[in-house]
Amino acid sequence: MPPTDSSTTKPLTGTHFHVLLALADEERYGLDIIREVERRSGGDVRLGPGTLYNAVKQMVGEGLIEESPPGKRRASDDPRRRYYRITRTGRSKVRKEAAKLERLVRAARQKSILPVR
Amino acid sequence: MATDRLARFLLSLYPRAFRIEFGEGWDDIWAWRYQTFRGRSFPTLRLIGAAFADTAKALPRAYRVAFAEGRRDAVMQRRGRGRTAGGSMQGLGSAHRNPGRGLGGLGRDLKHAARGLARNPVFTVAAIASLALGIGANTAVFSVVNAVILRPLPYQEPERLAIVWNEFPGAGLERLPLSGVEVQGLADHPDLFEATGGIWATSRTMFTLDGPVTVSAALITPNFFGVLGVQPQVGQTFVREEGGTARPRGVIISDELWRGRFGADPDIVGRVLRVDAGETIVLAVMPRGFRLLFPPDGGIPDKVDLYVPLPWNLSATDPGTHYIRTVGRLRPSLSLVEAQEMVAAVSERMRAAYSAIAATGDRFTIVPLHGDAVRAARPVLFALLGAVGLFLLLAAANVASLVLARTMTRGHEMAIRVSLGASRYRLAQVLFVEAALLTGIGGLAGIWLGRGMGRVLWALRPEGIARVDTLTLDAKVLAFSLAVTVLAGMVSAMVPLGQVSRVSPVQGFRRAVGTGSKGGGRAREVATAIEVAAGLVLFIGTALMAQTFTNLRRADVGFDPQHLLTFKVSLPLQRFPSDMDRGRLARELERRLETVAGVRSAGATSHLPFAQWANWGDAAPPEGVSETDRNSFFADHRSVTPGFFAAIGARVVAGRGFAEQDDLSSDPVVVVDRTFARRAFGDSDPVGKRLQASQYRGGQFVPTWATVVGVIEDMRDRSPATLSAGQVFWPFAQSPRWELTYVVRAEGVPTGLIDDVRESVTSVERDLAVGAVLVMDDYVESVTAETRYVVRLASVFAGLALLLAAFGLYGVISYNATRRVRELALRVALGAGPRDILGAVLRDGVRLGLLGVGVGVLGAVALTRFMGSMLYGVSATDPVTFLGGALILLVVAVASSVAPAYRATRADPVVAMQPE
Repeated sequence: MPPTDSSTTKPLTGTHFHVLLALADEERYGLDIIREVERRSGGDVRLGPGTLYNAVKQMVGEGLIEESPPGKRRASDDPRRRYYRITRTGRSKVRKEAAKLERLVRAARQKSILPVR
Repeated sequence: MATDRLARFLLSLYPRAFRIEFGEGWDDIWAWRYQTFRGRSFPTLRLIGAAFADTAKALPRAYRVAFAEGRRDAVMQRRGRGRTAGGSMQGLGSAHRNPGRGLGGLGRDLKHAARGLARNPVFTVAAIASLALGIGANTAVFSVVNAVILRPLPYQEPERLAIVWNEFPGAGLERLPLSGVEVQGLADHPDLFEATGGIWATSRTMFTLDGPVTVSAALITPNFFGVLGVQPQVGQTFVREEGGTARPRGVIISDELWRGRFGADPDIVGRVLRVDAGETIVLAVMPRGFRLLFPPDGGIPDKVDLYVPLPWNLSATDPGTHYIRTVGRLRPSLSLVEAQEMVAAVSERMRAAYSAIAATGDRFTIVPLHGDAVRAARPVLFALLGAVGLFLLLAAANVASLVLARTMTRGHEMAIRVSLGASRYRLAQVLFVEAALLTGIGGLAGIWLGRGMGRVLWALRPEGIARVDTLTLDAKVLAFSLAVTVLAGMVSAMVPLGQVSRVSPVQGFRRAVGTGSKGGGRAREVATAIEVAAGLVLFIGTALMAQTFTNLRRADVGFDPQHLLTFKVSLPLQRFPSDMDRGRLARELERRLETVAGVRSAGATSHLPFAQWANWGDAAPPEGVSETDRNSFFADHRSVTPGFFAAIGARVVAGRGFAEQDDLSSDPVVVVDRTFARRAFGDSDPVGKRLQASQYRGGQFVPTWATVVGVIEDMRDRSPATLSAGQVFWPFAQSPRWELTYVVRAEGVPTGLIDDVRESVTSVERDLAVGAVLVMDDYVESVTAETRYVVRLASVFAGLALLLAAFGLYGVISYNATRRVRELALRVALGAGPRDILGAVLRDGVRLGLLGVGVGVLGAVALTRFMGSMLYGVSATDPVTFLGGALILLVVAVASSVAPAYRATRADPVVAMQPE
């Protein structure tokens, strides 16, 4: 599916945000993404493979991530695995989302819902 | 490895395109997930839970995407190539080749499925009825569970309310109330509870235009309603004043009393009432439907008519008299564990400060009010939930078996589809749509049926189970029913889906009977065995409960509950302050009652057996027991009139009962029951020995040395299933409490005596009210009501289960017999008689029956353990019940095979052997 405009306007779901964040620094394959998301969320977010691959399929369709071609992978990578990396659109999207979250956190601090640092 | 198999199974549920794209590495993810669960409790269960959650979430989306892609591809193909195929073959041809046909295709599939179902009304009605019954039963029971157990208590922020119980470790007693100083001790720690309230239930005599009536009353601390967060609908509640007593003086009444006795008088506040010996004013009316939702063993009735403030300063009361049920509102930041540590510390300080508290060794425990209030209802309702869950399993297995049978007879149709190029995925899609349609209709019918069944369950419910008034089908119930429907749909649809992989064009075209799909037959047999097994478990569970019910009814309670009329009379201290007067009045009433025509004997007790909130316990150590060992001689205390033992039918086994002479002018005497006699005096004769019992004298409880004059056979006074904890009886004249319950043994029907009894009571003392008039049989009835409830409902499900299992068996055995027609015909041709043929088919039924019974017995052993606390007089693995259940299921299996077997003997071998 070609990238569409909707990908830039639709808000990110939690799963998508986590996957993009996991891919922000390096390309990863399925299990690797699940582990990274779980590690960074402190075990709060546990993705099952069905949920993950549905998200991956959709995000590839929306042009947020892409499958990296086998030739460009590192030597240590398992050739049977499919690796994914973040696209420019994906990076800009996750950045916008993070900025939005930051604004929300700031608002929460102002309302004394979170302690002010 | 098991995780591999699970992973492969899960993957197989997804659309083909998804499997191809993402199948690689799928096993590794589940293997890793299992590793993360190891080292924690129940790793396998956790894995299954995670697998279920992920699949439930992801599967619908994966199929939606697959459908959408299929539609897009089809559109592009059509645009590119134009329409190539025409005529009727188009529907089976190109569309079948593509994994998905989009929503238009889905609509067509639905229409096709609906038509298919309509063509087979017997199958359709049987399947939908099975599902509807299973789902309906679950919806109904869950809606009761929801109303009784899950719904929060109707108080403000109810999750912060906790109840404090007392424990006497030395005496092995728990769930006891607190004494006044202890309540005050807790209230003095505002860092624990934001507010602490206490309540004690009793009764009062209220004087109305119709004469004196007994009303249920509760003595409460001034802020009691504040703790619950409930405000009166009219008027104001009490305020605590200096010294701990309440202001203003007056009473708060219930909405029921206001409407029932005062015609909802709008000027009720300020109205003067005559209660007991004095006058008081009405301060407020509680809201309509307000209930005290305390645990049933807490001694607090849910409906109280009159709330009176505790008339004394709590810190000045006797620390050894435990009577106040205490509820607190926890500080928001406090966890239950922290609160438990704090109440433990308070009780430790109490023990250090008061010798009376140190003597009993009071230890406080804190439990959430909600959990405690529904504690008693939980096992009953969970047992029912288990029963309907099993029933649903059985219903789903039944539907699976029906669907399988249908799939197998459709082998020809499937084969045509495959040979025209339909993929297996496409076939699965067709079957899936059909199963979804079936489940959907079954689910809707089930929810509709469940509403009605829920109302019936609600109407029949025993008093102890539910003290809330409404049953609604809320979002939680609907979500549950939906989940149950999906689950039933998965069980009944997934099994047939497994058959699709076995469809081959060659086999499908071989129409000759006897070469049908063997795998399908096996799956059907498994489904039927599951039905038999689930039916057996239900049957055994029901039979155990039924035996419990009979045993409870037949239990020797130590007295004769038949033909007994009971009623309560209050002798308020304000009106009868003298101990002598109360003793004399009680005796005079007894004498007068004995003269009523139709009365065989009469007597009275301070605490009627099985009555809801009857307890008065204290240590009663015999001579020579040290101060520290006193608590081992804890006993329930009662004051009874001379006629009581004879009237209630208690059996004096040694010494004597009480006589008229046992009054305040003679030496203190007591009668003990057999359990207490054995505990206090071992094998030696208790008559003539002395013990120090708690005597009620001059308005307080005084430890007094008394001589044992008799021993009676144990009376079960808590429930027919609970053995006596040890009882000590005082003559009422020596220990005249302010309340007593008369038991009148009638010659005929006890209810016929009510008017005469009332009249004779008022003839002795005009202002005495006769309250709580009940027949003792009704008490026995009410304490066995919960068991009867479970037995009744479970019997219905067990009966239906046997019926469904019989149908399932019949279907499979008929099918097997038809499949074996050629083999059987060959045997006949080779000289086998009808008896051999009959035996061959019956053996088939017995084999299936045995398989199901074997699995069922194992299942029953695993499940009936959880019923242990509900059973009485029968073991959870009672061999006779198990054997009986197994035999009955086997008889059902044989009976279901008789008709097919008979038919098989009539088959004409010539016809059967003819080639197609």
